[in-house]
Amino acid sequence: MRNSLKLLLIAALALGAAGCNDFLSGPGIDQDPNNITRLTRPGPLYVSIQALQSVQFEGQLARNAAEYVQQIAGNSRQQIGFDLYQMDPVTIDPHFFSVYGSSITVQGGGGLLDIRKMQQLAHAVHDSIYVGIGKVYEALVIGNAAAIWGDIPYREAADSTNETPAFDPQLQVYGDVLAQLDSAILFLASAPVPPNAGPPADNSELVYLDRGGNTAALAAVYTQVAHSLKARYHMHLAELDPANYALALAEVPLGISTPANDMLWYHDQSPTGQNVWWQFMSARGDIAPGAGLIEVLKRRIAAGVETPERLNFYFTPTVPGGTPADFFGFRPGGSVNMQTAPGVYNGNGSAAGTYSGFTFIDFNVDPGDLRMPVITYAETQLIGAEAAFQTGGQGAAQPFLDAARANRSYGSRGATPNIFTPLAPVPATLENIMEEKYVTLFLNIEAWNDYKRTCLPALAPAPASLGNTTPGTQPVPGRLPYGITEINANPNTPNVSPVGRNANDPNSCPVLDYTSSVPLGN
Amino acid sequence: MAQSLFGQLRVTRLMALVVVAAVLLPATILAQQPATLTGRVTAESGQPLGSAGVIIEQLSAGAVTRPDGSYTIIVPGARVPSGPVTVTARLVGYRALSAQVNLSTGSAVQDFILPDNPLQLGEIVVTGAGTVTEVEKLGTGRSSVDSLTLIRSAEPNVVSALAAKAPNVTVVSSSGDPGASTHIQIRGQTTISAGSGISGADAQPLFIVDGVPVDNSVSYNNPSFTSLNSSAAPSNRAIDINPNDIENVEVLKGAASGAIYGSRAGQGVVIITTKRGRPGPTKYSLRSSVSLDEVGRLPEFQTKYGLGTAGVAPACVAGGPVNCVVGFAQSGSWGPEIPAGAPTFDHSGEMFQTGHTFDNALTISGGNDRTTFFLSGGATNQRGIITGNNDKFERISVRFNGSHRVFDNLKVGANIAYVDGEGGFITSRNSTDGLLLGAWRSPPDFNNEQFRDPVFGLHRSYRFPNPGPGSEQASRVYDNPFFVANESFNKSEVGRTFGGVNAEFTATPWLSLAYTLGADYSNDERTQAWPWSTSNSTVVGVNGVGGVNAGYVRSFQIDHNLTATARYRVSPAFSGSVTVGQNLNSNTYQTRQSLGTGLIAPEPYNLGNTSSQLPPYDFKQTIRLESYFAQVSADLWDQLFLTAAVRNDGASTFGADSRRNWYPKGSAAWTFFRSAEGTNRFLTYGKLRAAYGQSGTQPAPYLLTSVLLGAWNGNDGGWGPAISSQQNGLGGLITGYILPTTDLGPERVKEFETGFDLGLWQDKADLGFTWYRAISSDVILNLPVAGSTGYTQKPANAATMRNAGIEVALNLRPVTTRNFAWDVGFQVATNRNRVTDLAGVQFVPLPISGGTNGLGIQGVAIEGQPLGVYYADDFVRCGRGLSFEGVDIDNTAGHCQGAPADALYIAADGYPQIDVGGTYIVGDPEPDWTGAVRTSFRVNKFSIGGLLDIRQGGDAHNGTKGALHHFGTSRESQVNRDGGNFVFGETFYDHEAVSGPGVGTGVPLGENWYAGSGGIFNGATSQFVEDGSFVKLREVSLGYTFDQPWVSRVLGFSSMELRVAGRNLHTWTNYTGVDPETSLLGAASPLRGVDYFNNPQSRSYVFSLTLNR
Repeated sequence: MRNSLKLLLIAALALGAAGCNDFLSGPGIDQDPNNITRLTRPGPLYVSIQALQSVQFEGQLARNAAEYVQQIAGNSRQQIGFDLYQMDPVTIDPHFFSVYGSSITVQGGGGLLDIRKMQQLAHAVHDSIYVGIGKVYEALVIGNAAAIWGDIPYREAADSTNETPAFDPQLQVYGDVLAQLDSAILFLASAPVPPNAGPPADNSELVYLDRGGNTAALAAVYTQVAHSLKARYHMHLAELDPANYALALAEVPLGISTPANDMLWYHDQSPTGQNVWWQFMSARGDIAPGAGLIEVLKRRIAAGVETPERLNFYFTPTVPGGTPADFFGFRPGGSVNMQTAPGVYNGNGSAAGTYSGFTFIDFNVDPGDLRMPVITYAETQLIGAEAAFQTGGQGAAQPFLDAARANRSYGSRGATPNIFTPLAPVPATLENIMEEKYVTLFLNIEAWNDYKRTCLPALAPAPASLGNTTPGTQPVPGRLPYGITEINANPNTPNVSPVGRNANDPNSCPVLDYTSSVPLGN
Repeated sequence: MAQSLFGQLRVTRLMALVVVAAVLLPATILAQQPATLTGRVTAESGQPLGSAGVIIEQLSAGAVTRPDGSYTIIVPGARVPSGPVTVTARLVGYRALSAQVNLSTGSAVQDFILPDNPLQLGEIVVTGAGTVTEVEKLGTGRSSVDSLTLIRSAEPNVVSALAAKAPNVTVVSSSGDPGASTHIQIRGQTTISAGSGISGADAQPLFIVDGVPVDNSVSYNNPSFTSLNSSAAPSNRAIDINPNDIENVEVLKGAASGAIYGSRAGQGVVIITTKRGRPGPTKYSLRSSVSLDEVGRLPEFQTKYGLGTAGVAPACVAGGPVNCVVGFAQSGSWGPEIPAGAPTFDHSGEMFQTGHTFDNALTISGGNDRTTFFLSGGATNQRGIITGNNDKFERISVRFNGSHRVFDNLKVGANIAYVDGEGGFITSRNSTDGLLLGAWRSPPDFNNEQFRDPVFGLHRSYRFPNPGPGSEQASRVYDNPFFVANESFNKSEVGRTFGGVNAEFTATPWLSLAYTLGADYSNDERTQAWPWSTSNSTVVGVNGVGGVNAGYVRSFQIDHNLTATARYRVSPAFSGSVTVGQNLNSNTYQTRQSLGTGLIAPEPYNLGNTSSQLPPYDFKQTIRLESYFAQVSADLWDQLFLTAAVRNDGASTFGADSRRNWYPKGSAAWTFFRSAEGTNRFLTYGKLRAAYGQSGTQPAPYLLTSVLLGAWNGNDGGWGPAISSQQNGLGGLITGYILPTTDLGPERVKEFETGFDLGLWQDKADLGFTWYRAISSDVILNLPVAGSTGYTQKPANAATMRNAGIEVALNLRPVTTRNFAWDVGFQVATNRNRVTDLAGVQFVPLPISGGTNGLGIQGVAIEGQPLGVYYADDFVRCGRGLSFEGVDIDNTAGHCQGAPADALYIAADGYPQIDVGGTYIVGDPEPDWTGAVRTSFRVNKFSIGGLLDIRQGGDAHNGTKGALHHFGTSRESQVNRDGGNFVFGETFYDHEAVSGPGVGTGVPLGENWYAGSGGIFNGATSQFVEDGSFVKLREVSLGYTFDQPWVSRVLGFSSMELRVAGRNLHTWTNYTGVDPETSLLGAASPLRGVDYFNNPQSRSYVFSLTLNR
């Protein structure tokens, strides 16, 4: 009996010890020991926004855009299908949700959710510059998404309390984005409130690293970016409502005033800093120069409209030191023997069957610190040229086209801008303006938006399937499908044709008649 | 806190025990002369029974019989009693017999002839958490695997050794690589995404060794640096258990049996009991085996056409321009015909060699009336089937199991193992620096074996055939497979200690206490190296310039289990027991890994030799459980056995509102017939049983907190490029992708099972049948969240799922004589899984299934479908409401009108077309049924056995074939290239019904087809889903035992066994790939049967020698 009592005592001791209240809770037990749960300053979010959203503008969305306007062609694996207009909701999925947030598969980040948090934190520390800059990035990211997908969630998006945000009509999104830019301009103009007076106190600027954290300089340059973006978005709306040409034109003088103020993604040579085009070539290499851009450049050079400088900067000839005649690009999907109009290259490569390569995005050539343009002085001037042409004709457009041709550049390598020699004026016809823009905005999603609006340059559609030598009957897509996760989880997702048209772009471009003997744009 | 708490607890407990012990006096013993008991134990057939235990319970004395059945027990004079004692002989598979023997004369002889007991009635079965019962009292079907069966399978990994050993215990080895992980699934999958979430033991059963939970996780190297399906595949940690140490494995299959483990038993429980010493002379056993391992099935390749496209070779070929790169478009074997006489190479099998495994195990065991011990040492050294020195697995293990009876009513013991393991893994699967990806895409006329160029000694591959100066740090686009095998390496070096101390205290004749304090600590040091010129394109920053990932994965688990069991007896017809218990468990997983990129000099593979280092990956998680349980059993009229139990679990991973949860169970076993000894009847034993129980699965920890993530490498849809959130010395943060949730409870599995066990024809046959149905509710889903919320997933107890099936086991022993015995066993099992509710979500991808990851296929949960169905794109088919080129094909004459549903649509050009926007269920990896046939013969001292493993139904995705088609290296692509025109639905894809304007049109099947719609990259994924049924000759073995007197005289051993065995000797299957038994992600993912350049399975010939003394 005595033993039994002792035993009971032991059992009680053991049970009592376990009754410790914090056995099942506390830091590291039911609270995450690995991640940050509290943040008081906007800077770390801003770093991620600048770093990670570059993937949205240099990754698959940009590849799709450049394939659709035939600046590049898919010649391997999935990219073959993409430039034959085969984009599906599964593949596009990460690129859609990266507009807003991230996923377990390490995609996205720095999207709308982080951009809004950055603004909230900036508000909390009375940092009006960061609020303004946040709004500029919000407009950049959301405007780009609206251009690609049309109706998108915006007003109800990036809110953890609303799991099924409504899809806002595209035109409303554009309206909101333009309003954001107006608001950004106001915030950037207002003096920061001490003691947290903007970037110098929390210097996280990468894109305009050369401003050295100078608050006034940053406010000034982002104000110009805001105006240039306004000009860009007014152009997006101009096909539907030509009144936007005048609105765009009004923004141009306030926009990016010099190539030195071009907005370029920050990239360096570190393994995780390199520009995404270069990384893609290094890792996958599934794209090749597009016959469209190469043929336009060759024709322009032959016509004396421009020099081989840009051609050589973008692409490599098929023989070392070759002339423009030695450049050959792929047709969409690498389709050879493609039926084309007389004088239009059919995509068979050189006599030896070889094709051009890329210069700066080919991983064998350059280490990838090329800082890719986001929005530039050149684009602003060419917007001015097109808007002026539409509102005032060739004469009004001429100074803008001349300015763009006199100040040619393409991004920078590290801190060194890539500058081309100025070109003499050519008549500011719409074709010349849009071709200048097409060759200037190499690899930029905006080239697709320009094509959707103007159908310039004239492009032969991709064939219906790989190996098919007849150009297809389907026009260049006007949009991309929504991501599968959004379709899956948000019943508000519109059921629209994945390759249909967005509200701002009601008219598809004509499918060209290949029996015509007139050489077409490419 | 955990350790100090446990420390405190342990000290308190032990001190108290010592105090109690001191109070109790040992029994007084009278002095006398020693006595010797000898005898022989044989079966009814006359066959001598070795390894039988002969025990004099009241004296705690005993011995183990020698191979000839003889035994000797010497009782010290001081302990010889004056009256008769009860001597009991027992051996698993035989009925125990007792006899009264008088030892007072100084010597006695007692022989035993043990009746067969194939149903193991009366044997003790471990039922978990410190509870035991007897076989006939079990209310659930029993699945038990004994030591001999495990050892004869000659598998170094105990999980692999369970293949085909029990119905509905499905085991899949991820490859034939040494140390490759093996996945085990019991009665189908009951969870979609749960588990610890990190360690990768997701959807895997709980492993218990000697009452202590142990780690069986699979930890991939740093998940933030690499995508899982392109890194080397590590082991599952149960590989640290030396199979030679195992006495028995009990599989608790479902919730009805596993409920005692509550929220850890959702996927079943595997209970391993290690061997222990028995009183008697010290026994020695030395087992040495050597195994020759060779590659299993391989695909067939063409040797007719060389590198190029459209019949033209590129300029960049071997001997061409220095440092040229073969572009992807030219990288297939669609080039010109290889001239007659030009050498071609066997890219299919050239990088494989005959591997070997040496396995040595020494065990020493014995003891006396108070103390027993078991000591073992094992050394396994395995060199894999891949050429080079990096494909290996080595394991050195030691174990001590001991017990000491401090007093007659207090026994203390310890079971402790230390393991030192080293695995070398070859990168495989979907990786441009993987072994088979580069090998099997190589054109037949490229000599891979010469992996360094003769002039500069640099790595050459067929995509980069002429390396020269300046290319030392340039990617080879695809690595040469011989370079992969010889130069890159992935190493895992494990030090692990697991085991526990225990005490059993019999307080009163009716009350006993049992205590176990167990721990499992392992430290796995990882080094993964990418040499200069590596083609790896998924690990950030190593492409070409190389790099090193180094760090550790550490796991520490401590488990306290205290039970008190009271036995009661109301009347002779009504007795039973009551057990109450407490369990505390703390499980910590931690990993720190650093990736250095850009090797400064080619070697060493050390972080100091890298030019830049990424932010380290630093992760830790702790999961705590505090549980109480109680079990009551009632034995009525010695034929009806009732058990009821309940466990209450508190878990740190549950939300505050669901912190504690109940798991009940109840079972009944009714022995409705038991023939009297010797009666000759058809039915000799019959038992009906039924059981119901609930078990659970915990959510991953820390899901309830909204976090900001740093060191993020945002990638571009999984296609290589990634940008770090840390730039220019500034740290960036992003908001985590998990939508903050307020509460999460356990997943719950509610299972009912019923069945019967019959003994037939005087136990010459037995038949077991079980039917079960398990409902998984509150299944945790990472519900996809609309990305527009800023988040992409939300964990929730949202889904329900059902598994139901039957299990039949029939064993026949038609002949059992002294010199000849034959037995044969059949087992068949089915499991039908249905996802019954998915919270309205269209589909949920299985966790870490790799997403589509460029393979275009994923395993998903879809309501109304079995879990894990393949979801991918397909060709345009009729009956799906599709339009093609503007034509509504279902409602247009000449297209699909009148065609059977799902008929393949043939466009006017004669080819099927890709359905660009659609995603469909294209396959189901769940088999219709699985089964096994086992047989063994014994002729005198020869024994021969065999095991067939059968899987009927269940698809596999042969993505490898799709890629080989694309590249034109497959034999089929060459035959069809040369085969003229084919007609879809007639001479090609003849199993398909076809419809559409192009039906009957003859078309060529060349590069345009295979690199287009007929290949993996641009074609319909569905076309590579194949029937994965197989019959596998899993094991064959032939042994001879020498126990003649000369063995002892000459060798000094009592017996010697020689055995020749074969493993995985042949597979009969219609699957056209390497092996339908494969899994892209090994045991880390429930995704099954996806094959994309996975390393092949191996077949082995094993020669073993066992010496016993």
